[in-house]
Amino acid sequence: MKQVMIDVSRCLGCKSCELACAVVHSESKSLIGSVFEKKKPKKRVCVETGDKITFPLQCRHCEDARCIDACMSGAMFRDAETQTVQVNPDRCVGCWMCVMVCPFGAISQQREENTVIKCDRCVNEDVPACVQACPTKAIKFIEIDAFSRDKRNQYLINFRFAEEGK
Amino acid sequence: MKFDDITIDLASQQMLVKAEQEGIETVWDRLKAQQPQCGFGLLGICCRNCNMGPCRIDPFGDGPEKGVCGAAADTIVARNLLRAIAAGAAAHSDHGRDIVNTLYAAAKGDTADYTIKDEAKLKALANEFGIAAAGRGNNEIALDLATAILEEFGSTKGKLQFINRVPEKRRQLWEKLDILPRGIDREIVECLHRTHIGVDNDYINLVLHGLRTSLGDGWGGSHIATEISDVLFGVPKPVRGSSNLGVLKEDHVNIILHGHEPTLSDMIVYAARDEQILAEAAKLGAKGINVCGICCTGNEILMRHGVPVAGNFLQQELAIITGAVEAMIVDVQCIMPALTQVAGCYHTRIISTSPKAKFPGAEHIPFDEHKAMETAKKIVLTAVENFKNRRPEKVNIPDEKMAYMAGFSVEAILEALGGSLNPLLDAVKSGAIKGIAAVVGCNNPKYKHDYGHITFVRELIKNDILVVGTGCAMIACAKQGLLLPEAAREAGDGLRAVCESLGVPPVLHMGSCVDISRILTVAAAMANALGVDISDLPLAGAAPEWMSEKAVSIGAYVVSSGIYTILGTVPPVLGSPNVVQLLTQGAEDVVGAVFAVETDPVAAAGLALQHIQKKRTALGL
Amino acid sequence: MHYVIIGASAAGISAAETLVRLDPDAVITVVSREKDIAYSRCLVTYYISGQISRDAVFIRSDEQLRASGVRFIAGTEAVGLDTEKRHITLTDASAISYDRLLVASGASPVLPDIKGIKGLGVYTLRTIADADSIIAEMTESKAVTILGDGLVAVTAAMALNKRGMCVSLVGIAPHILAGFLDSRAAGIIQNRMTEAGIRFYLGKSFSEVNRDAGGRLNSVTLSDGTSLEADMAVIAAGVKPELKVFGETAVAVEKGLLVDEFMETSVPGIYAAGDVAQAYDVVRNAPVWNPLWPHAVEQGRCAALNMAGRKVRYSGSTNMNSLNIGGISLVCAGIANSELPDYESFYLSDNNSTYKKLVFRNRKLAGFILLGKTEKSGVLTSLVKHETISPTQKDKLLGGHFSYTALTGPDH
Repeated sequence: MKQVMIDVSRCLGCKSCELACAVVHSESKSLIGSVFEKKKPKKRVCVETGDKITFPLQCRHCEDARCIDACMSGAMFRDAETQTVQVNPDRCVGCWMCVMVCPFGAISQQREENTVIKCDRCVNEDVPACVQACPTKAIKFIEIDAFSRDKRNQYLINFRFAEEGK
Repeated sequence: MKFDDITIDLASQQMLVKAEQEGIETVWDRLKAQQPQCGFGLLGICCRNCNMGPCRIDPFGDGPEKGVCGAAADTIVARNLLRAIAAGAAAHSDHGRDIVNTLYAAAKGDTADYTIKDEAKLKALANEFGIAAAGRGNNEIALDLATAILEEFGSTKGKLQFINRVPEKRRQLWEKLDILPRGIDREIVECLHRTHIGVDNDYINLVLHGLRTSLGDGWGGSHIATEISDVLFGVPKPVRGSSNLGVLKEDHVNIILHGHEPTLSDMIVYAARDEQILAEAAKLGAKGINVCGICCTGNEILMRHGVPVAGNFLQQELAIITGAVEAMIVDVQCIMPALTQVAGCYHTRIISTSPKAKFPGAEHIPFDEHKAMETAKKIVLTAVENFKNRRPEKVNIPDEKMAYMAGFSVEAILEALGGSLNPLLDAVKSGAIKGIAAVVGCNNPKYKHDYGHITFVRELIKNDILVVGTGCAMIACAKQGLLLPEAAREAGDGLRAVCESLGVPPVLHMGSCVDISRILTVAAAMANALGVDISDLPLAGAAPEWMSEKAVSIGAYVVSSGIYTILGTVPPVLGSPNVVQLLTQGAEDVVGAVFAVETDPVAAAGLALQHIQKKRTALGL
Repeated sequence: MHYVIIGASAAGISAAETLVRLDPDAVITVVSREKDIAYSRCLVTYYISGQISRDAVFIRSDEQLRASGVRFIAGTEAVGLDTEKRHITLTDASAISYDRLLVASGASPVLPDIKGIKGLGVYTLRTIADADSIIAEMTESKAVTILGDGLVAVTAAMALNKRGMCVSLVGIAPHILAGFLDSRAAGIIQNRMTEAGIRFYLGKSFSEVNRDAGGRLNSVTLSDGTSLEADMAVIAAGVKPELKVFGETAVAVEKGLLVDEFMETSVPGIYAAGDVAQAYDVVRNAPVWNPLWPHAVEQGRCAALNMAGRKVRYSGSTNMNSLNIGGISLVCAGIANSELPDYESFYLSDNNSTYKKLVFRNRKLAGFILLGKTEKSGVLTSLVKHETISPTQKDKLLGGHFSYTALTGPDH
């Protein structure tokens, strides 16, 4: 299964991924078109700042997804085909339970709509928009051996939250 | 044909196939490698003007809406626009200054190689500048004129001299808006001052100064470049020649002049006729020396000598890929640094000549106007000597070659009309010619090469719009045969009849990109003749494939002069809806013209026609 | 193997689905005392408010339930247990034998002993059936008095207020949501609710529910003698674990049914999960009754794994809550509602729109309350579950840097 992995040493913090993410989730699917859309498109990836690093963070589509457990409305689910974690906005009631439990802080609240949004891994695209947009190839979409934890750790930050990063 | 999605030009397609086979990287490969390009840059909402930054604004309101200093999208977009205008105006104007410096040197007798070629123009300009001509020698007049014109750059007069060509109404409007350019350099410097951290933060005030700066280009720097070039190298007259990569000759020493200024290139045209050098070439087995142009240097020499033009901006690398170019002589502007890499795969020598423009990997033979012919001969000889290094197995010159008729200076147009603008005005009034559109500007690899220019121009002439133009847009037209009187067959009945009676093409090539000043002069003269403002005339401007900062300045001065202007590639301003509104709507109430952006050339032509019809109706035509 | 699960809510469904996945050949029976099964209890107040339809309350469709292969017995309560014979008995006296039993029977509302409380117009609010009754009865501009100051009381108050009823909330605690909020955070929410038109009578209880001759509710008298007109009363004064199935069977119970780290009760072969269970709490480092939806799902899955023979330790629960009341969002976790010795509280932000409080104990993030701005709160919830945090992480937290990236990395 291909996963989005981050080579943190390559991220320059340009936020191209953020723009591309918003654009791919816009009506027009074009930067110029989306600038003129009444309802501005929302990004699902956020370039975060740490100690001397920047990190494009998006939903990791965890194997044991706490957000799915926490979702009391049945909006958050695992897509059987892609094994990604998806949110059905029609079922979301804006209780923010998933926001409360996501260890990555990767779920965004849309206060006006009373729903959450998160990375859908661009399941309708061949390659996720953030991956395509990254000028330094810090965001990669690569095949990951399900047991190759070392390789994942190479890409995720050295994360002391023991149970995460899988 | 392969590559027909990136260029409509067959010769270019053929060279792209060759490039691919030989593993040569071109501008299109590099564009692809740059994808996706930075969205903040595309929208104009990144700012690097101070070291608290760099800052960028989230266009979707989901992130920072202000830079560190507090500048919001409006300020940042306007400041970036202003800096682009400043750079564009600087390029044109500095080109103009160099020409005046040459006039000054010639007048003082410091260089024997340059003389006054057009006495009538010299005297007309002297008259315009209030310089006495009666009973004085040309050099004496020229010295006063050069001094007076050099003063325009840092003028303390309060306004530029050529502004007097502008219709009274427009001059008053500029005065009222406080955008009369006061000095060419001053406005450019002020752009940089205003866009420094913490100076001008009001987008309207910034854009207005941008307009003033651009007027200092259009009615200042560019005007000077055109007029003084005419004095030194002659006023262009209709002339025929040929265009596209097929102008390169397999059995000749091929020299390509690329860049923008006529000073050296004009000299090289003469140096290449030198008997001694020709003999040298013959010794090496060449049948002659073939001097060709690319970009606006090409336009300068084709306007005056009918020198063949090998192509426009996007063909600079392709010309080298023919394997048949001994030397490409470059001066300033629009010269891709990639040329030296492409040339490295062939025997071609890239020779830079301007102290302002050096290229890693190029040979530098500094051009000194005081020893102009000597330098020119040295350069030509270098090219000739390189003929022996040519590798025949690498030579592949496309057959595509098209004849053109160019050289339509204002004076040439007047002469074609029998000495007065009236026949043209009458044709406009009668509706035989519905209006005039100026088609100018660059190529841009983001856009299918030449497609925008050609499609737009064909649509217009079909609808009886006379097209005038300059720059790479006109080279595109040359290659498609649109600069021939026979092209009138493609025009609507009215325009066709006018062209056929005068024996001119429906598309008039008026020169290099600084020569848009000629278009302004015609527009002003038409308005004056009719007693109206330029903005009342059925005119439109377009830059279907623009890419350079010079084009930004051009667009700004054309709109400020009252001419509706359509851009075919999207400028980096969309990050500020307010700036967009100002440029595309608000400006109508300020300067009587606006920008439009339309990437589809057919739709763009529709906009131009609609606009021209609106102006005709308003004039009661 | 025959698995029997009592309860068809979060824990029961989660366990059943896990067992289907782990042991496809097993027979699985789910018994529910409610007619409606596999719906979200948490959505009931959303249904009352009109924000969602009745259908949207259900988290699994009939087709999904049928396709699961699980046998569901709905509308029948498990009321007896024979641990020797390994069977349970239902209200209709039928018996179902089991190999492994999961008690996920949830909790039931507590009806305090108050004069006149039983009768027309007084409702509890736990099930979708309760909601149906309330919806059938509620009428715009009529008065409703709610007894309770916890989450159900507060969300019910907002829901009925949205429906145009005149809502009074009567609670014994000095401020609402005292189970997880401090008075400051509660006060901000209370203000918002007051703006919406809800009246508060705190530090008080019902002393009597008054009815007219026809037995219809007309007012309630509070403990301080205040009389409130009322057309309806909703009792949301807490819940207690539903242990009916155990009957006389001895089983270890504190606040809830005690379970070990493998979710097994003191009776071998009988497991418990969800609101009935009292499992390990990582913050208090002891078994704590934390009846919350996410825990129920996780515990249901963990219990199922162990029932199927996989030895999987329960990672532990913690008190946590998220609210979205009148546009104010709030997330809290751990212990952040009281000033205890050894606990240090830091207030990063305190104004009328945002309130950020972090509570530390030694080298541990003991709890937090984020009100107004709740983005990335899950990172903090995750940290609360950690035994210790580094000094760098503490500095970052106190600097207001809550992002995953800020709180991770080689230096931490």
